[in-house]
Amino acid sequence: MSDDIPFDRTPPKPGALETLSPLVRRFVIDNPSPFTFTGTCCYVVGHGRVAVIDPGPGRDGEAEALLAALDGEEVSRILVTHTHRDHSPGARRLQALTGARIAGCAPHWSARAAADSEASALDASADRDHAPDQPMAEGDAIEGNGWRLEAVETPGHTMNHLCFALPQEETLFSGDHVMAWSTSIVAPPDGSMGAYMDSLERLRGRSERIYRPGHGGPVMDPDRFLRGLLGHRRMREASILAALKEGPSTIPRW
Amino acid sequence: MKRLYVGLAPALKGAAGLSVLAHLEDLGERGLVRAEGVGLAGTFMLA
Repeated sequence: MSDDIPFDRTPPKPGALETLSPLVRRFVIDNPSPFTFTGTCCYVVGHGRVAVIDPGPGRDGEAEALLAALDGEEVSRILVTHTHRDHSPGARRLQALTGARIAGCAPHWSARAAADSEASALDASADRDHAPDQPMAEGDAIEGNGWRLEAVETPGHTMNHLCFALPQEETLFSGDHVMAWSTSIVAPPDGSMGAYMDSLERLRGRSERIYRPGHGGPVMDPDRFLRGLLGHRRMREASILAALKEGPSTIPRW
Repeated sequence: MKRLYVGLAPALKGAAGLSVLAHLEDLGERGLVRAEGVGLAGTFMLA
């Protein structure tokens, strides 16, 4: 990974509802893996009547544990950043328990059709059952008491990926688009590197000062981090072109 | 292109291959690379 990206691999601990700021709390789901770090970060926005972002994989007991931690607060809306199984299925479990509407990303769709011979190593991660009550597009917003969450379209990791801006705290919930602990996976046919790079560029110049990602801790210097990510990808691209100068090549099967 | 990911943890190598594919497909869309075959099974060369 690039030395120019200021990674922060401080591991958030699963299982407790932690206050991060006046409007934001985090509940880390206990689903660690090489791709999820210490687990999926589920965020709670507001107090009393709250929004929940990315409830996680929806395994037995997870929604119940979150509601127990909320101790009687009402879930008014469930938002989903993208349709990977470590983020979106929990929305249906949480809806069944609370009746809250599911908003955010559209149903899963791929950047291109899969070839007959192609079997994406990560295909098992796509949640093709996700069907939101309220799909959101760029600029669409959900409001609560003292907070507003605005959708920012950031396709690439998945083609339906949304980030959510919280203007009251200059915060962006960045899902798996930008994470402090690691670069993001972009895997065809579901993902698209061109779209991912365009989405990184689109975030530059925005006013958010802190990103809260879907795994790991916050990105505290988004502009520097975005520059690092873009530089890293361009270096990777240059390395690939340099390798191809030596002649045709296949992708290694490790 | 194996040297692109020297030292990578084994659990991540499948994802690394897909990331390389993602770059190659983007380079193809920009006219810099062409492929014979599709996806991970393709052979890639400069356009």
